[in-house]
Amino acid sequence: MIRNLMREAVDRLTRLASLLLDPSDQQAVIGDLAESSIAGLPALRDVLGFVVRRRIEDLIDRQLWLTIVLFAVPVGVLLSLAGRDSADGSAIYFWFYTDNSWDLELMRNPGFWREFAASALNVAQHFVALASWSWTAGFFIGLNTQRRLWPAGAMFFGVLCAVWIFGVPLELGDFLNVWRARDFQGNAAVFADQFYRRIFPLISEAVLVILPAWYGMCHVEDEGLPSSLERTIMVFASAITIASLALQSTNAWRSQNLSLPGISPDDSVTVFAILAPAVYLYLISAHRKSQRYRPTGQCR
Amino acid sequence: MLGEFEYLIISAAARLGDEAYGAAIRRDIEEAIGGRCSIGGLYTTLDRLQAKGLVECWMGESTPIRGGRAKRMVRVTRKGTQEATAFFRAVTFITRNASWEIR
Repeated sequence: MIRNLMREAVDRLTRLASLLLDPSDQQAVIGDLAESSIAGLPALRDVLGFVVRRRIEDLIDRQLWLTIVLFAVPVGVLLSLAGRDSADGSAIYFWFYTDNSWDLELMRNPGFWREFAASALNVAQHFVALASWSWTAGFFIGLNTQRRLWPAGAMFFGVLCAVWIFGVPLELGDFLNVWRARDFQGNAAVFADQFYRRIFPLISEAVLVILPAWYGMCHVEDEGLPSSLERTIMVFASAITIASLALQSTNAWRSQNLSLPGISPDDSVTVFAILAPAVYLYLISAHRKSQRYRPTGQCR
Repeated sequence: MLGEFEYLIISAAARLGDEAYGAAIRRDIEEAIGGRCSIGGLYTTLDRLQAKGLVECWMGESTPIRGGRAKRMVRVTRKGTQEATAFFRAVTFITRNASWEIR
């Protein structure tokens, strides 16, 4: 009885320890253990040994640290602030249309609907661009860190949360050309509402930054990009998309006015923003199509 | 030049052919050396071999015996075959006329 309980506890510990591995490692290792009927302490020792080896590899992997320092941290700061300022900028439209403007007299005015359509399109473009940038950031991190996704992802999401909670140091804010503090003065009526001041930015950050970035990282893990040509194409597409994020002006997010220096019309920013996800969708659909006609059942 | 554990993995994968994956390679190695082969050692070495272009790895099908989990399939590349051949020749050459009798 006690032996069974102990064994059950050790098996649970083994499954818990395997969560520290990347999903593909987890599948391979837990599957191998099940197939070889290895359980209890030997299984736990195997999994823990593998976890330790992986983490030691992480510590000495130069590419992982370069990706974290040169990409995950600065882009994490930018996206966190973009998510916050974007929420503050669009909150004004949400507040105006949902809390104030629905009287019949106004709704009979064609000018109101024209203005409403233009605002909705602007906010939607903004949201699509932000989600695309976040997806691309996650995807780029995943592509460059491969099996080291766990520490790189933790660092990226850690930066997102830290900036959200503690803000940005003065020097980093100047270097990245971002507004460090939120502005509640200009539209005081909107931000007097606690929903727009506290809840709406959280929702925006979760839906438009964290989820798409996570989704991008998972795409690398789930689908992969088998050929080096496909990987190179995605690296270039991601670099263009992320550059279009880095080149946004300081007030782009709050004023809901995305732009790129020297490029007009402004709508073209959305094209740059969705470039990497669009190229990815094209490559993956072409890859799946080619697999469908392969005579063997192998993945590649 | 390959390390001896790398050589064991490549040889096992080459012998198993289309059936080469983590657990099968591990069984082969344990049978050959008459001892334990750790999963961590196996997979981290496989990663290293893949990075050197000596093997290709991909996630295969899941089976009920594995609790529905996928296998990590392995295939030796042309470069891997050349490296393993060179290692085998070196070991065979250096071992010629060597006597392993304990005196």
